Amino acid sequence: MNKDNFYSSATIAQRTRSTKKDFIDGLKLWNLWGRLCFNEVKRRYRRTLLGPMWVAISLGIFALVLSVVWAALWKQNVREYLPYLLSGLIPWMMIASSIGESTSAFMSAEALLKSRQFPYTMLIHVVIGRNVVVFGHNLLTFLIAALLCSVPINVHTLLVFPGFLLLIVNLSWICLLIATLCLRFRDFQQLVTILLQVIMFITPVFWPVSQLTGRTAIIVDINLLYHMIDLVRSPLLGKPPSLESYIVCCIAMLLGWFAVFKLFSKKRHRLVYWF
Amino acid sequence: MSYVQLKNVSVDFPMFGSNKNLRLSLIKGITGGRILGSSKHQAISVRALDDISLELRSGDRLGLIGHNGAGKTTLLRVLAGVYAPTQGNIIVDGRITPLLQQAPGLEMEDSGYENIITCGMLLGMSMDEIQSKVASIIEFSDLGDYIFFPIRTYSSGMLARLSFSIATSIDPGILILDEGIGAADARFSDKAAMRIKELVSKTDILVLASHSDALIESMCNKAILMDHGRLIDFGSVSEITKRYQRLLSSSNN
Repeated sequence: MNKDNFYSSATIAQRTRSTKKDFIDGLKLWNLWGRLCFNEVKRRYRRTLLGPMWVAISLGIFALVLSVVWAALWKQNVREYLPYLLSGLIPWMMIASSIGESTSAFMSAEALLKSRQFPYTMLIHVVIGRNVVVFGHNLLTFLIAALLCSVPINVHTLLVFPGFLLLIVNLSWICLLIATLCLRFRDFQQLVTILLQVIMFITPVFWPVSQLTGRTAIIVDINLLYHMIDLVRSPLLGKPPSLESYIVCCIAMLLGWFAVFKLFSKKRHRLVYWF
Repeated sequence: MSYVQLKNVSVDFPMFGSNKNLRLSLIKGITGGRILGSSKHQAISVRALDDISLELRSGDRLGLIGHNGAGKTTLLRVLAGVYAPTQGNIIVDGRITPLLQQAPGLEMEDSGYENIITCGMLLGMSMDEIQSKVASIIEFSDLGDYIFFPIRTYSSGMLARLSFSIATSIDPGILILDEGIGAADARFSDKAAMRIKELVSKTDILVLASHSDALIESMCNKAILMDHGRLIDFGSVSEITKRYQRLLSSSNN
């Protein structure tokens, strides 16, 4: 008899197995979440000429104006500040909106989750997938800015691919954790929204890391989101990300996924009771 | 050959944020479940299913009868693998195909055709399976060229036909069916009944929950009567429907 077809609340082995199954099935359903993401993007394009490109355009205008003002304020070169700002802001926007959307990722799928067994991880893939597509659109804005500001393209630029992958793997466990917590504790949704706003200011997105010296620099060093951004930002600017960022992100990936796996093994079978 | 066994299955729902008396008494009034207090977390839970044991074999057509809140839907969801029982366990040998929700994930802006594919996938069909069925789904839904229009332009009847056609196109193994499936507009209903019959004839085991005696009588060969989360009687359809009628009239007096 197929072991997957034995349900009980009792055994830990079975819970671990169903968690593994959830994680694997979530990935296996790539054509479903791919389709859901694709449809979403298609819907955004529908009846508009530029669709999601409007976001990229507004981002471009916003960044340009901000760069001119802030570069003047901080006596920096616009040609340096603009690419710096965009290369940090674009991954930040992806991270922030993925986390923001994951607060309701499970809650909004109540009907589906109550009608059949379904991998929870797939719902997270959908959230991240559609934000990656938006990221792709926004990246065009960066590319234009990079051309205008003559950002160097070199071997380090290639590091953007492994960096982006590591960013996504980390973002996935963060979103999965937040979606789960928000389902159980409804206050988390508000809390996460507030935290995201705060974190945006203490993360070097708008301001250069070099501005922060001395003891306060620790808020950057321990900021996982900063390191995740750095993995993508530095290569985009033609520089290698710091070794520290790689180390922090790799450790966070292992610890994060381990913790989420443990949590899921313990509570996955209860999630549907939390609606 | 399919087989389903439930052994002493109980399901308790935690009642989050229900602080003490007022809400507790409200819940008691509304639902049929019994309310349990657990000393561990001071949390309140509602016992939706209480010590249910049953066994189903190939050819069984089981009807679940009971009033609102008797635990029918919860039992269907336990069978569908949605709720892991709080106590007890379930053994399922075979492929479970729950039809508890007509068409999950309908997107108003997408065309009927796109929705067929998305919904089919959400119902657990593979892409090949859907491709092979798309033509018959469109034909049965009677939508013609409307199938390529966004479904927000559909009338409610058209929408009902579409979602019904998608849901009933599934290859049933052990079919878990809620009575909501089959609600469609009047002209459509004969055809719908036919299609449901056809679907049921292909299943190995059927579990159907309904308020309607007639529906259960027409489709099932066994029935159980549920009340307040307990299985209070098991037997032939006619016995159980009679007992249910008695229960109804006694509770009315």
